[in-house]
Amino acid sequence: MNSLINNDPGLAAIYEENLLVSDSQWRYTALRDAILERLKPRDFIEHMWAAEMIQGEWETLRLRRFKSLIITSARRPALQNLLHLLLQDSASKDIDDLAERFFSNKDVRRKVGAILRNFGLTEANIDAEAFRQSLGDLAEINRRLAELGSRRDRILQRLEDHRAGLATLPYVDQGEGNDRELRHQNGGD
Amino acid sequence: MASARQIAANRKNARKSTGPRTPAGKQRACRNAYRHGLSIQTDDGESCDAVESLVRRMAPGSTDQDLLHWAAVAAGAHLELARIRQVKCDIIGRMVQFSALEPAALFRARAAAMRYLFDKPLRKLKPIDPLSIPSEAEREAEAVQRLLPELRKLDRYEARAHASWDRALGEVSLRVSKCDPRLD
Repeated sequence: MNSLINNDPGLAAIYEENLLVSDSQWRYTALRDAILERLKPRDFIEHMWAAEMIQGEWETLRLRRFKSLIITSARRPALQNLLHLLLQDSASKDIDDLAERFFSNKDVRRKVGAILRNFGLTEANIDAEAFRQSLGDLAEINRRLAELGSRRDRILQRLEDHRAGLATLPYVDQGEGNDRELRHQNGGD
Repeated sequence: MASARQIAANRKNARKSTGPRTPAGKQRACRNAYRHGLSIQTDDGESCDAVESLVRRMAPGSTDQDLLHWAAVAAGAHLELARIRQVKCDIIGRMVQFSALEPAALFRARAAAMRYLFDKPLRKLKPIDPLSIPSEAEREAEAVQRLLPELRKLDRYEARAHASWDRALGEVSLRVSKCDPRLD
Protein backbone atom coordinates (compact mmCIF):
# COMPACT_ATOMS: atom_id res chain seq x y z
CA MET A 1 0.00 0.00 0.00
CA ASN A 2 2.94 2.25 0.82
CA SER A 3 4.38 1.93 -2.69
CA LEU A 4 0.98 2.64 -4.26
CA ILE A 5 0.77 5.93 -2.36
CA ASN A 6 4.42 6.87 -2.87
CA ASN A 7 4.27 6.25 -6.61
CA ASP A 8 1.16 8.33 -7.15
CA PRO A 9 1.63 12.06 -6.38
CA GLY A 10 -2.18 12.57 -6.27
CA LEU A 11 -2.61 9.89 -3.63
CA ALA A 12 0.50 11.05 -1.77
CA ALA A 13 -1.07 14.52 -1.57
CA ILE A 14 -4.32 13.33 -0.02
CA TYR A 15 -2.62 10.91 2.38
CA GLU A 16 -0.20 13.57 3.59
CA GLU A 17 0.36 13.15 7.31
CA ASN A 18 0.48 15.78 10.06
CA LEU A 19 2.42 14.23 12.90
CA LEU A 20 3.53 15.67 16.21
CA VAL A 21 7.04 15.03 17.50
CA SER A 22 5.80 12.30 19.87
CA ASP A 23 3.69 10.63 17.16
CA SER A 24 5.17 7.39 15.89
CA GLN A 25 5.64 7.35 12.12
CA TRP A 26 5.65 3.56 12.19
CA ARG A 27 2.34 3.36 14.09
CA TYR A 28 0.76 5.92 11.76
CA THR A 29 1.81 3.94 8.68
CA ALA A 30 0.53 0.72 10.28
CA LEU A 31 -2.84 2.32 11.03
CA ARG A 32 -3.09 3.79 7.53
CA ASP A 33 -2.24 0.48 5.88
CA ALA A 34 -4.68 -1.45 8.10
CA ILE A 35 -7.54 0.92 7.25
CA LEU A 36 -6.70 0.88 3.53
CA GLU A 37 -6.45 -2.91 3.61
CA ARG A 38 -9.90 -3.08 5.17
CA LEU A 39 -11.60 -0.47 2.99
CA LYS A 40 -9.81 -1.28 -0.27
CA PRO A 41 -10.63 2.06 -1.95
CA ARG A 42 -11.65 1.53 -5.59
CA ASP A 43 -11.44 5.07 -6.98
CA PHE A 44 -10.05 8.47 -6.07
CA ILE A 45 -13.25 9.57 -4.28
CA GLU A 46 -13.04 6.52 -2.04
CA HIS A 47 -9.39 7.34 -1.40
CA MET A 48 -10.45 10.81 -0.23
CA TRP A 49 -12.91 9.30 2.24
CA ALA A 50 -10.29 6.79 3.39
CA ALA A 51 -7.70 9.57 3.89
CA GLU A 52 -10.14 11.58 5.99
CA MET A 53 -10.99 8.52 8.04
CA ILE A 54 -7.31 7.81 8.71
CA GLN A 55 -6.78 11.40 9.89
CA GLY A 56 -9.77 11.11 12.23
CA GLU A 57 -8.72 7.75 13.62
CA TRP A 58 -5.17 8.97 14.21
CA GLU A 59 -6.45 12.02 16.07
CA THR A 60 -8.71 9.74 18.13
CA LEU A 61 -5.75 7.57 19.18
CA ARG A 62 -3.66 10.64 19.94
CA LEU A 63 -6.39 12.23 22.08
CA ARG A 64 -6.91 8.99 24.02
CA ARG A 65 -3.18 8.93 24.76
CA PHE A 66 -3.31 12.58 25.86
CA LYS A 67 -6.24 11.85 28.15
CA SER A 68 -4.27 9.32 30.16
CA LEU A 69 -1.21 11.62 30.22
CA ILE A 70 -3.33 14.53 31.46
CA ILE A 71 -4.64 12.41 34.35
CA THR A 72 -1.12 11.19 35.13
CA SER A 73 0.26 14.73 35.24
CA ALA A 74 -2.65 15.82 37.47
CA ARG A 75 -1.65 13.26 40.15
CA ARG A 76 0.89 15.56 41.83
CA PRO A 77 -1.46 18.56 42.30
CA ALA A 78 -4.17 16.05 43.28
CA LEU A 79 -1.99 14.63 46.05
CA GLN A 80 -1.07 18.15 47.13
CA ASN A 81 -4.74 19.01 47.33
CA LEU A 82 -5.56 15.88 49.35
CA LEU A 83 -2.69 16.46 51.77
CA HIS A 84 -3.71 20.08 52.26
CA LEU A 85 -7.21 18.89 53.15
CA LEU A 86 -5.94 16.16 55.50
CA LEU A 87 -3.04 17.98 57.16
CA GLN A 88 -4.49 21.41 57.72
CA ASP A 89 -2.11 22.17 60.59
CA SER A 90 1.09 21.42 58.65
CA ALA A 91 3.14 23.99 56.79
CA SER A 92 2.29 24.38 53.13
CA LYS A 93 5.97 23.95 52.16
CA ASP A 94 6.22 20.55 53.90
CA ILE A 95 3.08 19.32 52.16
CA ASP A 96 4.41 20.44 48.79
CA ASP A 97 7.67 18.60 49.53
CA LEU A 98 5.80 15.41 50.39
CA ALA A 99 3.71 15.65 47.22
CA GLU A 100 6.83 16.34 45.16
CA ARG A 101 8.84 13.43 46.51
CA PHE A 102 5.97 10.95 46.65
CA PHE A 103 6.49 10.01 43.01
CA SER A 104 10.24 9.52 43.21
CA ASN A 105 11.15 8.45 46.72
CA LYS A 106 10.11 5.17 48.36
CA ASP A 107 10.37 6.49 51.95
CA VAL A 108 8.11 9.43 51.21
CA ARG A 109 5.74 7.14 49.38
CA ARG A 110 5.46 4.94 52.48
CA LYS A 111 5.03 7.99 54.71
CA VAL A 112 2.26 9.46 52.54
CA GLY A 113 0.63 6.01 52.28
CA ALA A 114 0.50 5.89 56.08
CA ILE A 115 -1.00 9.39 56.26
CA LEU A 116 -3.67 8.44 53.72
CA ARG A 117 -4.46 5.19 55.56
CA ASN A 118 -4.95 7.16 58.79
CA PHE A 119 -7.80 8.95 57.09
CA GLY A 120 -9.21 5.78 55.48
CA LEU A 121 -7.82 6.62 52.02
CA THR A 122 -5.57 4.77 49.57
CA GLU A 123 -3.46 5.70 46.53
CA ALA A 124 -6.55 5.12 44.40
CA ASN A 125 -7.96 8.30 45.95
CA ILE A 126 -5.08 10.25 44.38
CA ASP A 127 -6.14 8.98 40.95
CA ALA A 128 -9.77 9.82 41.71
CA GLU A 129 -8.79 13.35 42.75
CA ALA A 130 -6.61 13.73 39.64
CA PHE A 131 -9.57 12.61 37.52
CA ARG A 132 -11.86 15.07 39.31
CA GLN A 133 -9.42 17.94 38.74
CA SER A 134 -9.10 17.13 35.03
CA LEU A 135 -12.83 16.65 34.37
CA GLY A 136 -13.22 19.92 32.47
CA ASP A 137 -10.37 19.16 30.07
CA LEU A 138 -11.41 15.52 29.67
CA ALA A 139 -14.98 16.58 28.83
CA GLU A 140 -13.59 18.88 26.14
CA ILE A 141 -11.53 16.05 24.68
CA ASN A 142 -14.48 13.64 24.91
CA ARG A 143 -16.61 16.05 22.90
CA ARG A 144 -13.98 16.05 20.19
CA LEU A 145 -13.74 12.24 20.31
CA ALA A 146 -17.52 11.94 19.91
CA GLU A 147 -17.39 14.29 16.92
CA LEU A 148 -14.59 12.26 15.32
CA GLY A 149 -16.54 9.04 15.93
CA SER A 150 -19.65 10.36 14.24
CA ARG A 151 -17.57 11.59 11.28
CA ARG A 152 -16.06 8.13 10.90
CA ASP A 153 -19.53 6.53 10.89
CA ARG A 154 -20.76 9.05 8.30
CA ILE A 155 -17.77 8.39 6.06
CA LEU A 156 -18.40 4.64 6.21
CA GLN A 157 -22.05 5.24 5.29
CA ARG A 158 -21.05 7.45 2.33
CA LEU A 159 -18.60 4.79 1.18
CA GLU A 160 -21.25 2.10 1.33
CA ASP A 161 -23.77 4.26 -0.54
CA HIS A 162 -21.17 5.13 -3.14
CA ARG A 163 -20.39 1.46 -3.75
CA ALA A 164 -24.05 0.61 -3.97
CA GLY A 165 -24.46 3.44 -6.49
CA LEU A 166 -27.06 4.97 -4.21
CA ALA A 167 -25.21 8.10 -3.17
CA THR A 168 -27.73 10.40 -1.58
CA LEU A 169 -27.40 14.09 -0.95
CA PRO A 170 -26.07 14.62 2.54
CA TYR A 171 -28.14 16.63 4.98
CA VAL A 172 -27.25 20.30 4.83
CA ASP A 173 -28.28 23.09 7.10
CA GLN A 174 -31.03 24.95 5.21
CA GLY A 175 -29.33 28.35 5.46
CA GLU A 176 -25.97 27.07 4.34
CA GLY A 177 -27.56 25.04 1.53
CA ASN A 178 -29.46 28.03 0.15
CA ASP A 179 -26.34 30.11 0.38
CA ARG A 180 -24.35 27.53 -1.56
CA GLU A 181 -27.09 27.05 -4.15
CA LEU A 182 -27.20 30.80 -4.72
CA ARG A 183 -23.43 30.98 -5.08
CA HIS A 184 -23.51 28.00 -7.41
CA GLN A 185 -26.19 29.62 -9.58
CA ASN A 186 -24.19 32.83 -9.67
CA GLY A 187 -21.17 31.06 -11.03
CA GLY A 188 -19.54 29.22 -8.13
CA ASP A 189 -17.77 30.16 -4.89
CA MET B 1 -4.13 58.66 41.90
CA ALA B 2 -1.80 60.41 39.45
CA SER B 3 -1.21 64.13 39.94
CA ALA B 4 -2.08 66.70 37.26
CA ARG B 5 1.65 67.01 36.51
CA GLN B 6 2.01 63.26 36.03
CA ILE B 7 -1.05 63.14 33.78
CA ALA B 8 0.36 65.95 31.67
CA ALA B 9 3.72 64.15 31.45
CA ASN B 10 1.99 60.90 30.47
CA ARG B 11 0.05 62.63 27.72
CA LYS B 12 3.20 64.32 26.44
CA ASN B 13 5.04 61.00 26.36
CA ALA B 14 2.11 59.22 24.74
CA ARG B 15 2.17 61.71 21.86
CA LYS B 16 5.70 60.57 21.11
CA SER B 17 4.43 57.00 20.59
CA THR B 18 3.14 57.09 17.07
CA GLY B 19 3.75 53.48 16.21
CA PRO B 20 6.47 51.91 14.11
CA ARG B 21 8.38 54.27 11.80
CA THR B 22 10.76 52.08 9.85
CA PRO B 23 9.51 49.83 7.02
CA ALA B 24 10.72 46.76 8.95
CA GLY B 25 8.84 47.89 12.06
CA LYS B 26 5.69 48.56 10.06
CA GLN B 27 6.02 45.17 8.39
CA ARG B 28 6.29 43.48 11.78
CA ALA B 29 3.45 45.48 13.34
CA CYS B 30 1.09 44.73 10.45
CA ARG B 31 1.15 41.11 11.59
CA ASN B 32 0.36 41.90 15.25
CA ALA B 33 -3.21 40.70 14.92
CA TYR B 34 -2.21 37.58 12.96
CA ARG B 35 -3.08 34.38 14.84
CA HIS B 36 -3.36 31.42 12.47
CA GLY B 37 -4.43 32.91 9.14
CA LEU B 38 -7.34 30.49 8.76
CA SER B 39 -9.96 33.20 8.35
CA ILE B 40 -8.46 34.40 5.07
CA GLN B 41 -8.97 32.75 1.71
CA THR B 42 -5.84 31.49 0.00
CA ASP B 43 -6.19 31.80 -3.74
CA ASP B 44 -2.51 31.53 -4.53
CA GLY B 45 -1.35 29.72 -7.64
CA GLU B 46 -0.03 26.73 -5.73
CA SER B 47 -3.37 25.91 -4.11
CA CYS B 48 -5.18 26.50 -7.45
CA ASP B 49 -2.90 23.92 -9.05
CA ALA B 50 -3.51 21.49 -6.20
CA VAL B 51 -7.30 21.94 -6.52
CA GLU B 52 -7.12 21.43 -10.27
CA SER B 53 -5.06 18.28 -9.86
CA LEU B 54 -7.53 16.82 -7.34
CA VAL B 55 -10.49 17.72 -9.58
CA ARG B 56 -8.86 15.90 -12.50
CA ARG B 57 -8.49 12.80 -10.33
CA MET B 58 -12.07 12.93 -9.00
CA ALA B 59 -13.72 13.54 -12.35
CA PRO B 60 -11.28 12.36 -15.02
CA GLY B 61 -12.20 13.65 -18.48
CA SER B 62 -15.61 14.87 -17.36
CA THR B 63 -17.24 17.94 -18.92
CA ASP B 64 -20.24 17.92 -16.58
CA GLN B 65 -20.13 21.46 -15.10
CA ASP B 66 -22.00 20.43 -11.95
CA LEU B 67 -19.63 17.57 -11.30
CA LEU B 68 -16.59 19.78 -11.89
CA HIS B 69 -18.00 22.48 -9.62
CA TRP B 70 -18.59 20.07 -6.71
CA ALA B 71 -15.25 18.37 -7.29
CA ALA B 72 -13.55 21.77 -7.01
CA VAL B 73 -15.46 22.53 -3.80
CA ALA B 74 -14.47 19.12 -2.36
CA ALA B 75 -10.84 19.62 -3.38
CA GLY B 76 -10.72 23.12 -1.87
CA ALA B 77 -12.27 21.88 1.38
CA HIS B 78 -9.83 18.95 1.47
CA LEU B 79 -6.87 21.33 1.19
CA GLU B 80 -8.41 23.61 3.80
CA LEU B 81 -8.73 20.67 6.20
CA ALA B 82 -5.07 19.81 5.61
CA ARG B 83 -4.10 23.44 6.27
CA ILE B 84 -6.07 23.56 9.53
CA ARG B 85 -4.47 20.31 10.72
CA GLN B 86 -1.03 21.66 9.91
CA VAL B 87 -1.79 24.85 11.87
CA LYS B 88 -2.93 22.73 14.83
CA CYS B 89 0.29 20.69 14.80
CA ASP B 90 2.36 23.88 14.49
CA ILE B 91 0.59 25.51 17.43
CA ILE B 92 1.06 22.43 19.63
CA GLY B 93 4.71 22.15 18.53
CA ARG B 94 5.35 25.83 19.33
CA MET B 95 3.77 25.46 22.76
CA VAL B 96 5.89 22.37 23.47
CA GLN B 97 9.04 24.26 22.45
CA PHE B 98 8.01 27.22 24.58
CA SER B 99 7.42 25.09 27.67
CA ALA B 100 10.68 23.20 27.00
CA LEU B 101 12.55 26.42 27.78
CA GLU B 102 11.69 25.95 31.43
CA PRO B 103 10.01 22.60 32.02
CA ALA B 104 7.97 22.90 35.19
CA ALA B 105 8.89 19.44 36.44
CA LEU B 106 12.60 20.06 35.88
CA PHE B 107 12.33 23.32 37.80
CA ARG B 108 10.45 21.55 40.59
CA ALA B 109 13.02 18.76 40.69
CA ARG B 110 15.87 21.27 40.99
CA ALA B 111 14.05 23.23 43.70
CA ALA B 112 13.42 20.03 45.63
CA ALA B 113 17.08 19.03 45.27
CA MET B 114 18.12 22.39 46.73
CA ARG B 115 15.71 21.93 49.61
CA TYR B 116 17.18 18.44 50.15
CA LEU B 117 20.64 19.96 50.50
CA PHE B 118 19.73 22.78 52.86
CA ASP B 119 16.65 21.66 54.78
CA LYS B 120 17.53 19.65 57.89
CA PRO B 121 14.26 17.76 58.46
CA LEU B 122 14.52 16.36 54.95
CA ARG B 123 18.23 15.40 55.08
CA LYS B 124 17.46 11.68 55.12
CA LEU B 125 15.56 11.78 51.87
CA LYS B 126 17.13 10.57 48.63
CA PRO B 127 17.49 13.06 45.78
CA ILE B 128 14.71 13.28 43.24
CA ASP B 129 14.81 10.78 40.41
CA PRO B 130 15.97 12.59 37.24
CA LEU B 131 13.47 10.45 35.32
CA SER B 132 10.72 12.76 36.60
CA ILE B 133 11.64 15.15 33.77
CA PRO B 134 8.64 14.95 31.42
CA SER B 135 8.85 13.07 28.14
CA GLU B 136 7.99 14.62 24.77
CA ALA B 137 4.54 13.00 24.90
CA GLU B 138 3.90 14.40 28.39
CA ARG B 139 4.94 17.86 27.27
CA GLU B 140 2.65 17.61 24.26
CA ALA B 141 -0.24 16.46 26.46
CA GLU B 142 0.39 19.45 28.72
CA ALA B 143 0.55 21.74 25.69
CA VAL B 144 -2.75 20.36 24.38
CA GLN B 145 -4.30 20.84 27.82
CA ARG B 146 -3.18 24.47 27.89
CA LEU B 147 -4.24 25.03 24.30
CA LEU B 148 -7.71 23.50 24.55
CA PRO B 149 -9.57 26.84 24.18
CA GLU B 150 -7.42 27.76 21.17
CA LEU B 151 -7.84 24.31 19.63
CA ARG B 152 -11.61 24.55 20.14
CA LYS B 153 -11.62 27.65 17.93
CA LEU B 154 -9.67 25.79 15.26
CA ASP B 155 -12.13 22.89 15.55
CA ARG B 156 -14.87 25.31 14.50
CA TYR B 157 -12.95 26.19 11.32
CA GLU B 158 -12.35 22.51 10.78
CA ALA B 159 -16.02 21.58 11.31
CA ARG B 160 -17.03 24.16 8.70
CA ALA B 161 -14.47 22.89 6.19
CA HIS B 162 -15.45 19.30 6.94
CA ALA B 163 -19.17 19.99 6.39
CA SER B 164 -18.35 21.61 3.05
CA TRP B 165 -16.06 18.70 2.10
CA ASP B 166 -18.66 16.12 3.13
CA ARG B 167 -21.47 17.72 1.15
CA ALA B 168 -19.35 18.34 -1.94
CA LEU B 169 -17.92 14.82 -2.00
CA GLY B 170 -21.46 13.43 -1.58
CA GLU B 171 -22.52 15.45 -4.64
CA VAL B 172 -19.51 14.24 -6.61
CA SER B 173 -20.23 10.63 -5.62
CA LEU B 174 -23.87 11.01 -6.66
CA ARG B 175 -22.91 12.30 -10.10
CA VAL B 176 -20.04 9.90 -10.65
CA SER B 177 -22.02 6.80 -9.64
CA LYS B 178 -24.74 7.78 -12.14
CA CYS B 179 -22.35 7.54 -15.03
CA ASP B 180 -19.75 5.02 -13.81
CA PRO B 181 -20.58 1.53 -15.16
CA ARG B 182 -18.16 -0.10 -12.67
CA LEU B 183 -20.51 0.76 -9.83
CA ASP B 184 -23.56 -0.99 -11.36
